[in-house]
Amino acid sequence: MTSVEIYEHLRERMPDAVVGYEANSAQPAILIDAEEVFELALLLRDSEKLSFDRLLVISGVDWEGYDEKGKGKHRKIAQYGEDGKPNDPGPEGTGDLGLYWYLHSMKYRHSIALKARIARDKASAPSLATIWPTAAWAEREIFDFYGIEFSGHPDLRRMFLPEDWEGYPLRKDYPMPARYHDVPLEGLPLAVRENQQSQEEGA
Amino acid sequence: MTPPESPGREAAFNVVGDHIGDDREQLLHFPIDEDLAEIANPTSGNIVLGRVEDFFRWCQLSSIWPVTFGLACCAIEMMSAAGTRYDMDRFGAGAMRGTPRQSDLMIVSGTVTAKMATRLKRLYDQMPEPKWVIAMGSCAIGGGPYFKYGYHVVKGVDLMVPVDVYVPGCPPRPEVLLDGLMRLQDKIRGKKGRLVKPKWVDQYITTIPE
Amino acid sequence: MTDLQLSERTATMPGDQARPLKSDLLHINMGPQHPSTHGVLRLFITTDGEIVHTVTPYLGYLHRCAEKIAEGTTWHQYIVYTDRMDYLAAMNCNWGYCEAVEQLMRATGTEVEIPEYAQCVRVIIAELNRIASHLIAFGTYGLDLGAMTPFFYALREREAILNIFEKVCGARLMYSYYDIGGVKWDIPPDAMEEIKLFLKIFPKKLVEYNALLTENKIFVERLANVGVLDRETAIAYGCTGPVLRGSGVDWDLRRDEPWGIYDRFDFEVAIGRGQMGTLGDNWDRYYVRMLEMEQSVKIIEQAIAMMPAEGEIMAKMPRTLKVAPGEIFVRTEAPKGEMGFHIISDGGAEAFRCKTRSPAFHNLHVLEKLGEGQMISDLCATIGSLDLVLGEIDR
Repeated sequence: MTSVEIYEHLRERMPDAVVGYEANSAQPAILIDAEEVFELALLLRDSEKLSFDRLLVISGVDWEGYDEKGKGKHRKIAQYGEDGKPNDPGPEGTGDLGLYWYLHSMKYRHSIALKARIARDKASAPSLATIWPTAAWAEREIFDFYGIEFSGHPDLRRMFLPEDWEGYPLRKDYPMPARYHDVPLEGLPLAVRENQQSQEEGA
Repeated sequence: MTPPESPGREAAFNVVGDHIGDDREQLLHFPIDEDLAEIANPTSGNIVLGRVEDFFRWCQLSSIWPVTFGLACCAIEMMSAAGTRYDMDRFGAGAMRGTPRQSDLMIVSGTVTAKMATRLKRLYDQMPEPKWVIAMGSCAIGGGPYFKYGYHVVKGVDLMVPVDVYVPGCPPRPEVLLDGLMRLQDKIRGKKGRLVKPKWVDQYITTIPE
Repeated sequence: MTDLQLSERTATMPGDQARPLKSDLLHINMGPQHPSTHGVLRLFITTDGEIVHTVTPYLGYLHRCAEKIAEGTTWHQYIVYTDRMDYLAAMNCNWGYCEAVEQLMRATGTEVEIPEYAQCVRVIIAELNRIASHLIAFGTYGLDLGAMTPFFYALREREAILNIFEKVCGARLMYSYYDIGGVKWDIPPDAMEEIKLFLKIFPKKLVEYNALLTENKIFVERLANVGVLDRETAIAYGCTGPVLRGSGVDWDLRRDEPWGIYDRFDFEVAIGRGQMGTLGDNWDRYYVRMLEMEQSVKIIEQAIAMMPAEGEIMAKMPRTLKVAPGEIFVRTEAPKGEMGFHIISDGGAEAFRCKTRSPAFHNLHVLEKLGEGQMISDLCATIGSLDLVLGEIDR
């Protein structure tokens, strides 16, 4: 089935969930409402005509500063500061966060992309870990980077960063840290620092 | 004065004290085995005189045992350096130990991340003295390609542990790692390393291009 | 002490039922530094003696913030970072990223026509790197199980391939050879001769490797019927590549969703058949990799035959590339599995979002399921059969 047919098929059965269709000559995407993704996913997996048995990727996006012309540019990445504090990162972001799912069916060899937008202050979405087990880790990764909480996830904790890391790095308003507890992330080498310390103490 | 006839090999095991009571002059003429005389000749090169410090240093530099601390891509080049083409074992450094408690050298090959940094410090502390650290690759030297926006990358392992030799490259060729190992050996030996261009280079450079 | 008192004392884990004479679960940390060569992976294992109850991988010890860096570097500059993801198959990762950007450009209206010569060069180099990656998988697998000889043999052949790569692009490991629109440098004639020589000698070496490990009784005893991954679990857990094909699923992106000129090649897709034990065990995944090396040799021979005598290596590209706004997700078949790039562009010189779908990340997820009920040494064998690269998993 082509993407348009899948879109029509879904819109018949779940008209509230499907918000729109983004046409693109290579890879059209279906815009959906993030709250309904669980029921939609059940339909996509179990329906006879669709039978999407593979979830290939879940990707998170921070749409803050998305300017189609590329001028005005997306937010510049803030730089390091001194003394372990980042220099002024700018105002907090107000744009939406987004999610992107790409599904594939081994039986019919068709695939579809789903997109959803999530408000930044209420960043949460249902988890698909009970439908496709591979979603468990992908969602943990998105929680780690964007702070989107997935309700119903069996084990939601950070994937890559340490458990007590503060902040969600891939958001556009994330200020770069210069320390992590007592690990300096940048600065002078240990030997130089110890030298300076002993000089200060001696002086 | 000619020594008495040498009764053969047994004479080599004559102990001087055995002849106490003999004529004093005869003591000077105890039979010596010829092979031993050859070995004991100070100009034959078989006797080396030196300081104990130098001897210990020579022992240390000829058998530096690294701990396997391969983190990322540079670990593959370290493996290649320990492989058959660029044999690291001929420097005595081929016995990679799994545990830091039996090793002298930590080759930090790869990017050090904030999460890994505490483990690195702990492993460094577990190594017994004397110990050395080679920072292999640009990530270990100063953060490498991830220095600009890497929020989780420690920009250089020398922020955590003191480093003896820096081996640049991304990843450094195995020959460069061996060169770094040889610089470390020079450092242990106490002499300055080869700070000048080696003489053999001149054989290959005939004209300097414009 | 009565039985009841003993069992009350030993039932220390929450959720354990108090059974008489139950021993404690042992918590073992196969910490981030361990003497196998898979990288900085931490596995937290709870075992009952030698039998593993749960395996929990902890990742992030090599998290190098590549996705944040993508938002700050230009399209061309990011190719360097894709090298370092799967550092054993850097060419394939490069190609995956370049393919994604080119397809996004085509989808948003820019014409990108890659010359025929460059297409053939791309295939040759990518398949050579596939062989190199599988050689490391083969060598280190033997090393994990205690066989040191296959490792040195594999490194010997890999040095031959790295020689070729050095002649082509100057680097041994991090090539950044593929560029958006083609490749950066031509294959010089002596490198081409060396490739042809390599193709002549490599099949004989494969026979040698098969004699060393594949039907070795000890190897088979350790691998067969261990770590059995059935078809439905493999698909549900998102496994791809030799892990998926080892379970009998006939799916290879090079044949089923071809990109570049892959639709013109005639090769077989190796799938596991359960010859030595159960379908989907460690041996099947290992043997799929050995067969794939043979097929790669075939593909390279065909590519050399269909290559034009000379041609352009790059399409015409602007100096500072700006990709029109759009979004795309493109997968290619890397040696570890399906490597995907989800790219969003906002019309600027830098990516707005570039996410990598890493095959080894999803393959590792299935270890939580496979590890239960195995012995610890079997766990080492299973990890080796999944062929993990931490640079790709942690990005």
